Amino acid sequence: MSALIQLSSIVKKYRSATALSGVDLEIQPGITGLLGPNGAGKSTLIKIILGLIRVSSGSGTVLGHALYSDGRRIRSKIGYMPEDDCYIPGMTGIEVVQFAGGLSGLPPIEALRRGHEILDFCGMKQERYREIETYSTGMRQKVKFAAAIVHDPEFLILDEPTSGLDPEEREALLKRIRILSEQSGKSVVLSTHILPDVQAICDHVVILAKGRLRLNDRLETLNQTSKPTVTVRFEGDPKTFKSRLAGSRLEVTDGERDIELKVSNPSDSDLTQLIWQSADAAGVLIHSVVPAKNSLEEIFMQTVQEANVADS
Amino acid sequence: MPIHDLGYRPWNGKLKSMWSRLSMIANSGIALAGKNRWMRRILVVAWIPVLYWGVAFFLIGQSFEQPVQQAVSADQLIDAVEKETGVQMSLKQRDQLRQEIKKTGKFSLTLLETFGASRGIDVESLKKELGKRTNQRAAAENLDDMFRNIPGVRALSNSIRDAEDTSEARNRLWAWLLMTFFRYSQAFLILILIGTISPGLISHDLRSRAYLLYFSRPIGKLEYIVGKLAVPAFYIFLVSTFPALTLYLFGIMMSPNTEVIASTLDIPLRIILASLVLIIPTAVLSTALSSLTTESRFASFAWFGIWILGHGTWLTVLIGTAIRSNVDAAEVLNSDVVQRWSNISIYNTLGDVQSWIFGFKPFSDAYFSLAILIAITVIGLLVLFRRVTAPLRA
Repeated sequence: MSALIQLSSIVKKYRSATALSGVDLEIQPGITGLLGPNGAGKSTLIKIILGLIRVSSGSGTVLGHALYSDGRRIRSKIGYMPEDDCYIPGMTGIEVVQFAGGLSGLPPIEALRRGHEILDFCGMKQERYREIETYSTGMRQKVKFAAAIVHDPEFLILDEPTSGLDPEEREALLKRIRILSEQSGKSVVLSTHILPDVQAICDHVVILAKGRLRLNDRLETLNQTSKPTVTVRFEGDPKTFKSRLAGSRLEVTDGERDIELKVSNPSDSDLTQLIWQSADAAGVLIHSVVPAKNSLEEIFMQTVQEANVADS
Repeated sequence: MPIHDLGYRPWNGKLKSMWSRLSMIANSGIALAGKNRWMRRILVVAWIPVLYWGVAFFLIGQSFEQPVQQAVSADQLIDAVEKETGVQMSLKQRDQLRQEIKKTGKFSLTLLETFGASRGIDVESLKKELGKRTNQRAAAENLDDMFRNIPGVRALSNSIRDAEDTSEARNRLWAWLLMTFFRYSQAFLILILIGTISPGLISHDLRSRAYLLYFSRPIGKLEYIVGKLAVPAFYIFLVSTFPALTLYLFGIMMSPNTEVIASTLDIPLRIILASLVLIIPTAVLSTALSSLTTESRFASFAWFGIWILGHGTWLTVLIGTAIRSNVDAAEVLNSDVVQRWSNISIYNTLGDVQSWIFGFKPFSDAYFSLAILIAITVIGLLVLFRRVTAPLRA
């Protein structure tokens, strides 16, 4: 599968500060989570992808078009939902979406029709006729999302789309993003600090820190542990069970609760078989044995810490 | 298939060109400005002067239909005859002519024929020329008498005095009326109108970060700036160019014959040129001020400040010079000191160029003002191009 975005040795300097330093990045079709601490260079990367700013050095293509010089073509194919609360004072919700459609090149009447269609999809009802200044944060997020997809772009860049949403709205928005990706074949870059959002819908994860690309992999791959690991829930004496497991040459760490253990097997022997044998010997009752996943939070924290160490 | 599908549906239409995007920016700006209640009130007020200017056109249209000789004194006529023929009349002849004119209220052809024949003069051409000259001269002198305290009117009276014929005199009179329409009644309204519309045009986008909405689309700086400039331009057009063209058409309709169209064909062109001179620098300046701040009120203060302080300074120089010279202000209007300070006022600078466009000033008197307006436009555009995407570079 060919990459939608290919960036090579991208450097972006703002006078004395370096925002991006030698970023090589490929973004594949699907939903990609763009993660990074504040000041990591995510916003700069997005502006570069949109062709809004020139790079200091490096090259790349976005949807087959050259960076910056083909900025208009790139932006006509991209839907961008900014993190900032950007709106035009005095306009109603539907006017903002119509306006966004018009700016993307939709004929005015068609932009209005399409605006209503998209606001329906976003779950916006009669409040679309109110001035946007009177909207709650959640409503504004919906309008921004609608404005980003009104022209049916093939690629979406969503910057903190779920910030300020209540759990129900957040779930609904993530569902819409998933629908756009799975049913309409749109690729999405989801820039966010909310890791469960990434865990919930992303196929790939990109982590930027200190202006460098620190990680770019499939989420599925990242979730896999380096050695076979399971989470065991049990009933009985944890001490005896732990010592029996250790006696079977298994590595044991405490789980999130007292009745949970994370057990991994450094050797090739059958992990499940050894757990059952140890449980039998310790006289504990096994409730469940579930393959363990690496938590995204752990991966993120570890990557950022490594970046800090490397930088210092 | 559901009756109303609320799911996502792809769109397969064809995207429009750059001009469609530009017009979208302009239209939304115009519509947003039109939502302002004060703005709508100003628009209504802006059309009131058109009514009395319309009356002026009506009266002028009628006056060209009337025999102007009746308004001409006997002595003026005799002087004109002497000037045209280059001979002096005797006292007896003057008395005869004076009596004849007073009695009939018209020029005495019999007397003229007698007078002309005795000196071998072509009476027919003299009659024609004399009638024309005396009409124009009389009109010019009447204007001078009526508006002796308004120096600007002298440009009109001189222009009428020098006109080749009635058609040209009408052309000059219309041009002058339209110029004063631009200069006096509409200038103040345009100042307020732009001061209401422009300050928020870009500053609001910067404040609400709406520039992201624009520049994340296939929009360049040029479309954005031109689209924004179109908003004040449209409203200036609405309160100056459009009513001026309406007045012109009204004048045509009030005219006695279709020859008037041919003789005043340059007037619409002059109106459009004068409008461009008014629209371009003012729209660029006000929008550039808006791009320098996120607070529209600061842009508003700056806009009114530039006009009021500039013109106030010039007025101070004018009044000061008049007091020092112990004469009326009108008498020192063309003095070196006052002229030197004239261009500090944008109002005067615009006025100089508009006077040139309407044919009441030679280019040599207007080129410096034109250069200033070009400089304002160029600097304003540079500021705009630099500032509108500044937040993206941060």
